[in-house]
Amino acid sequence: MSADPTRRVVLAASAALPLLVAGCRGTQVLGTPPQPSAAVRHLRAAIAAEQSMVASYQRVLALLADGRAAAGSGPVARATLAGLLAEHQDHLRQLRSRLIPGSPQAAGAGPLPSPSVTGVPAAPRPAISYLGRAEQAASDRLLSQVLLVPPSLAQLFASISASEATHVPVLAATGVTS
Amino acid sequence: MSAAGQADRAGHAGQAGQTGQAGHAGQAGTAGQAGQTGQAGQTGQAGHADRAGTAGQAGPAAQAGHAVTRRLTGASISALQAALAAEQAAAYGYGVVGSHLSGTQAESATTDWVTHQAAADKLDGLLAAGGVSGGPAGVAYQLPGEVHTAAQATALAAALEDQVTSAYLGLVARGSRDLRMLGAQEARAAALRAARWRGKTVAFPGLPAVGR
Repeated sequence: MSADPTRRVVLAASAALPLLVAGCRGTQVLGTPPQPSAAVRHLRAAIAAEQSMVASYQRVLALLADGRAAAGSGPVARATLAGLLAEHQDHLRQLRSRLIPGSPQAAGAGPLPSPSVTGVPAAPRPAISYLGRAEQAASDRLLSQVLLVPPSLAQLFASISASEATHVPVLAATGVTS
Repeated sequence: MSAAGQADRAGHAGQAGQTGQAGHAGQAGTAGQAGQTGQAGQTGQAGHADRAGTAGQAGPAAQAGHAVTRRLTGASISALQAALAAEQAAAYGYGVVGSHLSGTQAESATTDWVTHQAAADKLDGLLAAGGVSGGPAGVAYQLPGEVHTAAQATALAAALEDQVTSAYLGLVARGSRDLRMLGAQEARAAALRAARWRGKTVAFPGLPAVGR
């Protein structure tokens, strides 16, 4: 039970902290832009995820175009990946069109982070497997957010989730033959 | 193809669980039996779990049934009926598809045919639990094109799955919370089957107008 008072102190201190910070800033606090709505946050997360997916495909395609690294992976694999990349670019375009840049809610969230493509393996087959796992994870994530966004956006999320799921078996077949 | 099959099966497995859950939850509401109430308790979805939690005795179980009835809004009903119609048309169409295929393709057609029949039964059950008639399946359906060859048969299978995908996306847009998730999962499974039959993917399954 000796842990209880300690925890209480920590909780109290953390509760007081924002007030202190707010006090220091004075009226500046009142000028803080409104937090983006939950739907906008989920939409921005979806845009960021698609940007990462596009960047990952571009990285793997560059890898396959490099003769030495891509030894044994044929033009078929590159054509397949280019086709899937084009679908992700369509997803990205469509998601971006749903985010109105001038709206206060969208503006309140600042610029979107640049896509991160860490962890893409350097060899073709592991790289294609990596894309397959990324597709499944992206599909599952969008599916889980269907209830968190307005119906019309939910429909788009569900369709993109379905599209990404269909990429998984294509990548599995490509990884075997590449 | 084996990978596609596996992914497809994985999708079905998830849905099969939900299919069963939804059905059991509805049964628990109307039948009010302890055994079925227990099955409803295993549902993973919050809405169902709530109901199961109050359905420990006969009285609350009956109330749970009323809750199901009340939950179906007009939009949910029409979206469910549209999904049911698409599933019934697919079940009919796969009979035609299968008769023009052989080997593993014929086996796939049979598997998908059974899947659509089960899905139609489930949707019918959801409507019935809401006190609504789903309407009987048609005796025959107008097919989108002539089917004489294996290629035409697989094209028909893909087109049937497109229609099913679209119908379930309607459920995503218009259904109540638990129906929206069901619609999204079923749309994904149908899109996987469509891509397998077509041998090609699309950017927006079930939303042909998007991106044009």
